[in-house]
Amino acid sequence: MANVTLENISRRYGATTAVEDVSLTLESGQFLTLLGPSGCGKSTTLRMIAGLLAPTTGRILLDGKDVTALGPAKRNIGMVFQSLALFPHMTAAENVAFGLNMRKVSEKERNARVKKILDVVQLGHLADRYPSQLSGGQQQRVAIARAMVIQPSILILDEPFAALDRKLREAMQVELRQITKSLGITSLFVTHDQEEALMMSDYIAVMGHSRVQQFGTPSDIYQRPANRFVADFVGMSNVLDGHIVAANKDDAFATVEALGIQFKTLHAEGRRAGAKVSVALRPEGVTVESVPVKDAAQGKVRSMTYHGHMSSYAIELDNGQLVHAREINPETQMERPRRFEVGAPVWVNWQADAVRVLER
Amino acid sequence: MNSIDMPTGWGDRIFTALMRSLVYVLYAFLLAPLICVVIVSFNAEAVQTFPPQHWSFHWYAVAMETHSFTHGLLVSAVLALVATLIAAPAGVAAALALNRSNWKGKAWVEAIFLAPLVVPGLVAGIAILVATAALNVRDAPVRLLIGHIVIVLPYVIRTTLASLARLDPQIAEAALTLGAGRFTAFRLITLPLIKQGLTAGMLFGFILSFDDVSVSLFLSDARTVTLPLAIMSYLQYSFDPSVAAISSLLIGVTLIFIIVLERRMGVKKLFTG
Repeated sequence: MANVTLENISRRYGATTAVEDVSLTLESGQFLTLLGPSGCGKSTTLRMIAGLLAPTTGRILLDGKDVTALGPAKRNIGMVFQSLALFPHMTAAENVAFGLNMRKVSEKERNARVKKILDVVQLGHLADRYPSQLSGGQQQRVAIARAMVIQPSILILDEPFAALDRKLREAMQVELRQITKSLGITSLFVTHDQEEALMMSDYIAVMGHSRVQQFGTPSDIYQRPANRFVADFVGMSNVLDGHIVAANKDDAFATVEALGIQFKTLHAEGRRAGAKVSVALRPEGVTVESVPVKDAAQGKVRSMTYHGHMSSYAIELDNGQLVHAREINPETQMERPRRFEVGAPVWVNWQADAVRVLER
Repeated sequence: MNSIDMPTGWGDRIFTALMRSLVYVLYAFLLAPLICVVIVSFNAEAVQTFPPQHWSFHWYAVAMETHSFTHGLLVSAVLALVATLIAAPAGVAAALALNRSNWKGKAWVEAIFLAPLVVPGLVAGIAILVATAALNVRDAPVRLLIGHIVIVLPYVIRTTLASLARLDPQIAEAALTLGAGRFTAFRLITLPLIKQGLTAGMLFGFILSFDDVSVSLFLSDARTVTLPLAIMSYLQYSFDPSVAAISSLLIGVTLIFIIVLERRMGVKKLFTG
């Protein structure tokens, strides 16, 4: 197993830039996820690491060795493609054996390794089936086994679960994580699904606008988003304009004002009084009341979405600002499954510790 | 397509019946002359009469003893075979390049490669004659071979491109990441997956080369005459049923190829891609 370093990687297509100055390090045995919306450059980055695409500038190091100029066949990287890309004219076992045949592994060893890895992904009994005779989840396992059997320096997965239904996807996520952990495989995963990234990864690199916006552990990313882009991407869909009223070095708390409401928060380190900031908070952190309360902004419910155990509200405040709120529906009141109807006047506040203060 | 289980009214049924009869009439119109030729070929008389009074394989024997026919058959078969074998790898290479990416001028190159499909054979024949003369190539076999490669090539490119378009490009990339070089990936992965389309294009090109008159007309000489041309010149002097016999053989060979083609890929797919 090996570590991967990207040094100032960029990729341009004519005037457009797909990846801009990306630097990352992935240590041996770790599971790193590139998380970002479609078109953010994460798949392009992956293809450059796999050697399917040459970076315009920058270097790629595998175990400290510069592999930027090496073709995909020479990098010893196992890749699971978005479309799986199984060889349709070969059985599951033949698919898995392909990489070993390319490495001229002896027949005896090859058969043993194919059998072992197919058992790991619980497909031993289906080795002689063709991909078209396998279910989506089984094809997925063949693709993973095919990439892992060559004992790659790193395993690369490009949104491999995007086509699966939700239940199967969740099962595969858990299974993949178990396999990579138990075999100590260095893995690089790409997804646009923040939940998937949070539950699987040791580290996450959030990508947006062709750059890495934030690199950190899942809890770093979720609890301390570095900027508006990351905040929005991990579900802090409310971003309000605010400013620092009072802050001082000795006190961990700062007083912040947004929407004319002042509150004290821990998460404004290093900011000076008067500084303009953005205040981000999750819909779950917004409290909504049907009667006037102290330190609350008044507004009207504009729209409501029923999710079963929860309801989401879009609330238009009197100053025109839109705030998203989400609440658990009261279980006991069967006849009134949600608290507010569209058009109802409401008062909006938030829990100060649910707020993150970001650069404006 | 219409659904068989769809509820239908009387109007629909009459319409369907009319359309079906129209199709039968069309088939009859297309096939009747061919069937006539086959029937006439079994005529025992010395002149072509329809329907024949007496039946015999006599004219097949005559046809097989006519040197211009047997020689023409050999020329046409070898020509079609060699032209196909040269056009196939060239066509696959062209199709791979055309399929790979969106380079500038790709549409033009594709149009040029497929042009023989729309340019009349006579024009192509004259063009090749002029071009080869300019290059001082005066051997009829070489000229014919060039002409017939031009006939076969667009079909190979067309069907291979259609197969490649259906192929997920990540499949070949997967082979590369697993340690295969570009050529190995092509040989073990891409080629087996486009084999059907390629074979169909080769068979179709072979048939068209074998049956061709218009391109060959300008490129042959007295010593190298293809079968269709031999039949044509034979008809100028005599009108006995041996022509019908050799034509029936030609129809038979073509039919066998079309059946193989249909079994392998479906002739319809060849044109719809």
